[in-house]
Amino acid sequence: MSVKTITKAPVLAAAVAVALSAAAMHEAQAAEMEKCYGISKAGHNDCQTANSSCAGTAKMDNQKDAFIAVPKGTCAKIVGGSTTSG
Amino acid sequence: MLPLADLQSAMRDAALGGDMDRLSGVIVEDGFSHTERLSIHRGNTTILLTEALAATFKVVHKLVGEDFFEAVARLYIRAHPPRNPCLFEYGHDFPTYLASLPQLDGFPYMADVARLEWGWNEAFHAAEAPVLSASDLAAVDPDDYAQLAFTPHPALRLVASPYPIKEIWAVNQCGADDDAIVDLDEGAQTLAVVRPKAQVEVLELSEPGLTLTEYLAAGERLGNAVERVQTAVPDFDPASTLAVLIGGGAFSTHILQS
Repeated sequence: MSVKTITKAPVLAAAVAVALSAAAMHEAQAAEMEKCYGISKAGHNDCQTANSSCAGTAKMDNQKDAFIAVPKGTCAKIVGGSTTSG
Repeated sequence: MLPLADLQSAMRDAALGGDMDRLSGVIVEDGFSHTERLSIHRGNTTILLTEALAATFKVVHKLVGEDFFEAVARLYIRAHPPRNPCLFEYGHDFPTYLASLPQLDGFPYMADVARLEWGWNEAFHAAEAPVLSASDLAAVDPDDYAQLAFTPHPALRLVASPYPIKEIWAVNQCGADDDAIVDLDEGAQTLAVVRPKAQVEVLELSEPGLTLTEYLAAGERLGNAVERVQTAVPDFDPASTLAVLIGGGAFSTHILQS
């Protein structure tokens, strides 16, 4: 074990040294951001308009279990891939 | 009258699409039948849980569109009702459920996008903990690096996909370019979800880098973990993976194991 460790140690030391300096640079850039109370949801897609929970609360369940067969959203923007109809 | 536990389970079943007639004798009708009254509870339950899922799986919701999402959510809610009282904890099985749907056979990336969103959700709600920084490791003697072991930050989540799910996720965020197209042939992605500085971030790792991260997150010593990865990938250099992980706050603490 010791022989192996000795031969590999300088390689690992160099890799960690590179990693630490790169990580320190990243941290320095990120340090400008102030931590405020709570956790930011920035980057989360939260731009929907007010949802419909109040509007829906007096409705009876409409029992429509018919499954809509085709997704009709932004998946049209995802192209290629061997199994997609593209 | 039904015993309270039976009344509660009958209400739950009715709200989740089951039999309503067990409650026929215990509901005051007064102009509305018991099925009409229970249908209101069923409607509220379905709407509330669908909105909870849509809030967690915003990108899937956008990708498949509202009608499809609501239809899937309704089936999922009945097959996998909540087991915890907190709505943000609801949806753990949703990615697997999506993967099981034949209607999504032509959209093989969908379940992986959902896994990324679930990872994001878990990272967002994970416990607060210190973040290990590069300066914390400055005092470690380079000869001892092989003995370093880490505890992962509670927010760390790993997600791998044969598809470019980070790009798919990114073009479906608000403010993203509406005309952006993602090519699925861009290839596999291995991602780490982290939460340094109180903000969730998604980082890209290499495939062997993800394996190294899994070993380190399980508490393996750095020397052993790197050697194990190099057994499979002899020219693997851990530098860029460690830079991403330490710079991204993937770890909370370190120790030197003798």
